[in-house]
Amino acid sequence: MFNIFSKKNKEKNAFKNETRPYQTKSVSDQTLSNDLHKNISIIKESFADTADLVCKTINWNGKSGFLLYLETLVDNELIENHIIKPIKQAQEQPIMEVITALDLKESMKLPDVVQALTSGFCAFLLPKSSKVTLIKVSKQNNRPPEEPFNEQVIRGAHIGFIEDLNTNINIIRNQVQNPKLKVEYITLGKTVSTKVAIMYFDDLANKELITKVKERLQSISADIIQIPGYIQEYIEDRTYSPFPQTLNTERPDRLIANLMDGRVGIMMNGTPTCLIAPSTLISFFQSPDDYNGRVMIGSFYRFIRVFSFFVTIGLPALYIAVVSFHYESVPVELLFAIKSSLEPIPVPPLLEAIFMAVTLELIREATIRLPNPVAQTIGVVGGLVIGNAVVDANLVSNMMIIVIAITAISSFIMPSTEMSTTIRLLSFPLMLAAALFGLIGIVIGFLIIVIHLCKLESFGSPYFAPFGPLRWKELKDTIIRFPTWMLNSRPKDAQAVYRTTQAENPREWDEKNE
Amino acid sequence: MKRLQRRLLLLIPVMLLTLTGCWDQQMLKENRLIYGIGYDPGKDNKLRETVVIRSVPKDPKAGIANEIVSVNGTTIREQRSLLNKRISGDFAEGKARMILLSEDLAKIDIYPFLDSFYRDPRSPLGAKLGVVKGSVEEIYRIQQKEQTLIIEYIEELLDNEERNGTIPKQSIQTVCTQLFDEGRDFGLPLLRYDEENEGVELDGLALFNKRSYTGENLTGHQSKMMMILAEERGKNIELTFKVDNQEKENWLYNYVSVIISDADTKKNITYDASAGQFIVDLHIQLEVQIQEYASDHLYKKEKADELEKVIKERLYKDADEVITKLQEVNSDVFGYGRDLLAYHAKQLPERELHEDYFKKMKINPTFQVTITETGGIY
Repeated sequence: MFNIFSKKNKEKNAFKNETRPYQTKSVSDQTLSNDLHKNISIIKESFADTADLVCKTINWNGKSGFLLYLETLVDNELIENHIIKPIKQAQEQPIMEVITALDLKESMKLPDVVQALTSGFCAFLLPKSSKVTLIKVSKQNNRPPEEPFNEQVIRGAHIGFIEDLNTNINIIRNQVQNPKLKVEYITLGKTVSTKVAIMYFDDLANKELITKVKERLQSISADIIQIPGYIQEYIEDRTYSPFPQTLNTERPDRLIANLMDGRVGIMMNGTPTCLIAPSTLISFFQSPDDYNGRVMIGSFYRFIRVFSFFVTIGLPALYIAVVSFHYESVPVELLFAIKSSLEPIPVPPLLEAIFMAVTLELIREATIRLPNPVAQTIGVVGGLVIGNAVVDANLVSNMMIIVIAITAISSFIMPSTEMSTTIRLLSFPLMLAAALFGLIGIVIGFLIIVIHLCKLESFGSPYFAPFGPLRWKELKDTIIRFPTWMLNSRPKDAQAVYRTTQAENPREWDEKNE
Repeated sequence: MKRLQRRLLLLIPVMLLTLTGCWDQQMLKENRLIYGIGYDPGKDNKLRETVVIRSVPKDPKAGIANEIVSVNGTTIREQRSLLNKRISGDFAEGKARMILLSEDLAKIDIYPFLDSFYRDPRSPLGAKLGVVKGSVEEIYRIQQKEQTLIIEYIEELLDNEERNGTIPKQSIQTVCTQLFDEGRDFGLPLLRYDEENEGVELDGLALFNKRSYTGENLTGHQSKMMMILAEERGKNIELTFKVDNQEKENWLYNYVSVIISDADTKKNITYDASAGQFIVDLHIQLEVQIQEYASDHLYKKEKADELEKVIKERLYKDADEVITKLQEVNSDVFGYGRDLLAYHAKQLPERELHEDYFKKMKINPTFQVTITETGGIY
């Protein structure tokens, strides 16, 4: 009854098994011959005679060899210094000893050569030889690893991932310095190939979890997997759930902390975002700032975040319910204030709320796309001018502006953009329920959300833990944060092999406090 | 088959949401909020209901205003529909603060006026009840006392007197149990139109027997005494006694004002078989602070002791007066009937409370007074 959206199983594996001419692996699996010119023409043909494939003649040892490379992908200086110079000076040594580049290999297979050329190698071909020397001379355009602007913190490391996978792993390795940090590569995408790295602590992360992640990743068969959003949707348990089931982060410290909990990080080339699996609801409320601040302060802000979660989801709905069903529950003076602001409004409260909430989303969306100075202007125009004019024109009541503004601000408190958008989106169905059934509607709406959260799984672990299956001990790092020396075990949801993270009493010097 | 199922799946929620007949939405915007309700006897044996509606101006700067509407009708519900024809928007009594009854109506029975409130889930159970000497409409037509709306003015007045311990805290909800309780009566504040100040005056406590007003009332001072005797409110009650008879009659030296800082009451009910009478012994220990005493010299032990003694006498005299009055009108505000039913049922004639049980009781209050504080000067 519920498989309305499932496709028919016709042609089930057609795409997966077949290689189409435009895909990366379409290069014919053939060995190169001894004929130099024929080899060059085959390679050129494989590249569809692209204009940036340069073929350069270099004399070596009396023979004229050919250097093939994609000029847009290589560093000219590297070619000059590490290939051309040594070759010109060389005498009779074998070519592998002449070239001073670090990454250097030989191959006779056409697909290997083509693959290497596309990833920034240059190929040196010699007459009467089927062996091609491949030298890595790629050029990279990397921005510095700056702090991600969507996950800023006050204290703590101000470093963030960038688009280059190697640099990102380099940042992690530099901080961890542990040989057991394991990186596994998978290349995904049949047309646009993307290198994906799976990272975890070997012997700490649960074997089953690793297999599950790898299995799901490997089963992806698509032309392009360019952004983490794609991967997320390919491997997530429930795509139609409003809740994100993998934590996205651009912060190395956040990734490391999660790896230490026995989770798996999935990174890909070309994007700074890293996915963490499995994730729980509460991990979207945690920010590195919580642990850098003092216990009281960290706890306070964690509590504020959890509170704002409910405010964002429930406040507009509660207001609608109160003014259209249960105004008796409001103290009389407040009631008159609300009533006088509602008096001139021609539309029902639900429309008011939806109108304001949509306007807010418009402003948010407009400011994201525009360049910074313009975005600020839009913020002012949108926020102040529209807000004021809408009230003056009696379209929306003052109270509703206040309610929606509080809702918006509390949604932006979430350290994760995904969760912030999710909860703002969830407030709409609740508004509708409140307009139809009042407080009962809100209760039912919350019930449905809680039921959904309890049912949700992220890579086999309960999403709503430690509330879902209630684990008292793990509540230490949820609504409030306990001191670090009390957080001595890993959350159970990731099923790490070892559970304790620190000694029973890490403050051993403090005998009185034992 | 499957297509039908899919259609049903989409249809069911839509039908559920659109076809449900009863929708109890009650838009705040469309309601006229009733602020106060009053009942007077009208012409031709009808009832006259006066409601105060707090009008909410579209422009919040325009100030506050009341709208007063009166109708004549037979039943409470009929009056509702008559009122609805005279006001813009729906009649909504959910936020009423006050229900006042004219004494003529209260003398008959107050329950019929409250009945509809106990049946409606939206009714204002926290609203205050009061009895008015004269016409309620006259009071409501004052509209505003300076900058304060009439209802807020009366409410604050009653709130204040409740805090001072002059009258017991009563609302529609608290009165309900007492209305139905055979072993307990109650008192409601008695209000009066104050012509001199064009305002409202609290005239004391209207005493009720069962469901009807007896026509007698306690004065403010007596009401305070009643509160002490009833153990309802012992603390922070301010009392003034005439303790001396010097020179002129109204000379300030004659008076003392005390505030009760602590009260400890012990109640003991016994049955005197020979007289066939229940005897209530009240032993009340009071600690008082002197608020005003022009004669001064309280640092002298003899003087203080003497004052204590005089206060004690006054207290006894006043208490006796209150008890006599209560017994006269058979208004058991102390709830002794409940004690009798609970602990002395065997001694009760025919094991039930008779109409005049309270009249027949003998109540002996004894007081003990200690002056604990005399303020900054002696």
